[in-house]
Amino acid sequence: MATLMAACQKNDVSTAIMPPMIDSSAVLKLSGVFMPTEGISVAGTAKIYLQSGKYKLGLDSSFAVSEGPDLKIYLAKEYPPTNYIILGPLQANSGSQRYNIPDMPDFKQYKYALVHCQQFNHLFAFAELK
Amino acid sequence: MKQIVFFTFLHCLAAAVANGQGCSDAGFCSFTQHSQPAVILENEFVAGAVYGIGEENVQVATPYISYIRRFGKNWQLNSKITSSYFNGDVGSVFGAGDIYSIAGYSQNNADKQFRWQFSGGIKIPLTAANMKINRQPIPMAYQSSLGTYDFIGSAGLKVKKLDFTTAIQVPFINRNKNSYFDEFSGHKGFPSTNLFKRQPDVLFRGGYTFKKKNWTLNPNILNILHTGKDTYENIYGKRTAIEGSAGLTVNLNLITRLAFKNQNYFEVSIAAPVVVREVRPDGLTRALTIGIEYHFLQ
Repeated sequence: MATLMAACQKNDVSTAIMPPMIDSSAVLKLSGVFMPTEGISVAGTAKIYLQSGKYKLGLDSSFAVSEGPDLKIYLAKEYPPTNYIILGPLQANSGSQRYNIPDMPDFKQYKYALVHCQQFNHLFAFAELK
Repeated sequence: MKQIVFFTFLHCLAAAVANGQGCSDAGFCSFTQHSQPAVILENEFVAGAVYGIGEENVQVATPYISYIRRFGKNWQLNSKITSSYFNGDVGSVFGAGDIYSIAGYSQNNADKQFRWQFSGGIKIPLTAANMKINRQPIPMAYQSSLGTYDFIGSAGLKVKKLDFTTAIQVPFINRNKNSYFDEFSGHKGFPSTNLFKRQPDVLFRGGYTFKKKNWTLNPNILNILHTGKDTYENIYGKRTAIEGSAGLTVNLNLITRLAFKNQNYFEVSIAAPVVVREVRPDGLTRALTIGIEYHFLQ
C-alpha cells in the first residue's frame, strides 16, 4: 500500500548536511571498485582516507548508480549488511561525494562499502576495500 | 457557577495556546465521541480540516473526508481518509495520511440520564513515513502517517451534561520506514527516528456540554498517556530507546457546534496542551490545533 501512494513536494529546503572536506593532507588507506547486484548498474570506486586522525569515505567522480528510493552508504562486515555502520543517505546518484566515518572502525572487519536501499532492504552495489 | 467554570476554562485554554507545546493525537481523539442525531439518519458525510502548529513551528494542514453509515438505532460504521501538508524550515511536502474504519455502538435512550458508547476499529497507513525532500530523509514531524497499523478502541459514558471517555490506540503492525538521522541532518531540533517504533497511547477525556438553542459548547480536558519509550535504529543498526518520549500530555479542548434545522451541523474545535512529554519524536506535537468540520446528514 505504502509504495502505491505518491507524495508531492515543493519549495524544497531539505535537511542535507554539508559533506566533509578531503584535502591534500588526507592519506589514501584503502579502495575498492563497486560491483552491482542483479538488475543494478554501478560504476566508480570507494576510497577510505585518513585525515587529521579521522577516517572519511570518498566516492570518485566516475561514481554512478541506478536510482533507488532510500539509498544509503554503509560500511559493513558482510553483504547483504547485518553488521554495519550507516554513513549517511546517498548524496547523489552520480559524481564525487564524501562521507564522515564515525569512531575508528577496524577495516579488517568492516571491509565492504555498500550502496544499500534501507526501505526495501535491497543491496544495490558493493566494493571490497583493499 | 457554570459561567465561572467555563470562563476559567477559556482563560486556561488561551494561556495554553500562548505557551503550549504538545497536543499529540495519533488519530483516536476524533473517534471517541459519536454524534447522535435526534432522528436517526442513515448517512452522514463529513468534510473537515485541521490546522496545527507543530514541532519547530512546522505548519500542518490536515484535510479529511469521512462517511458514517448508521445501522438501526445503535450501530454505526465510520470510514475516514486523511492527508497532510507540511510547511517549515525543512521545506514543504504533501502526502496521503491514513484510512480509518471504526465501528461504533451507542445506547439510544435519549430519555435516560446515562448513555454508553463503545467503538473499535483500525487505522491503516497510506505511507511508510519515509517521505523525502530533495532525496533527503525528513523527520516524523513532516510525515503524513505514522506508518503503523493501529487498533483503536474506546468506551464513553454520558451522564446528563457530563461526558467521559477512555480509549486506547495500539500499533500492531509496524511499517514505519522513516530514515531520518539527526547526525546526518543540517537542521537540528528533531530527534533521530530511523525505522521508528511507537508505543501505545491511552486516552482519558472529561467534558461538559452547554446548550443554547442550536448552539452547543463542549469544553473538555483531554489526557493522552504515551505508555512507553519509542525506539529507533541507530547508525550501527541497534534499536535504541528515545529517552523522555513516554509520558502524559494534557490538552484543553473546546468544541463549538452550530446545528441547522435539517440536522446538518458545523463544528469548530480548538485545542492546546498544558502538560507535555519531554521528547516528542512522533511529530504529532501541536502547540495549537484548530479544526473545522461540516456534517451533512441524510
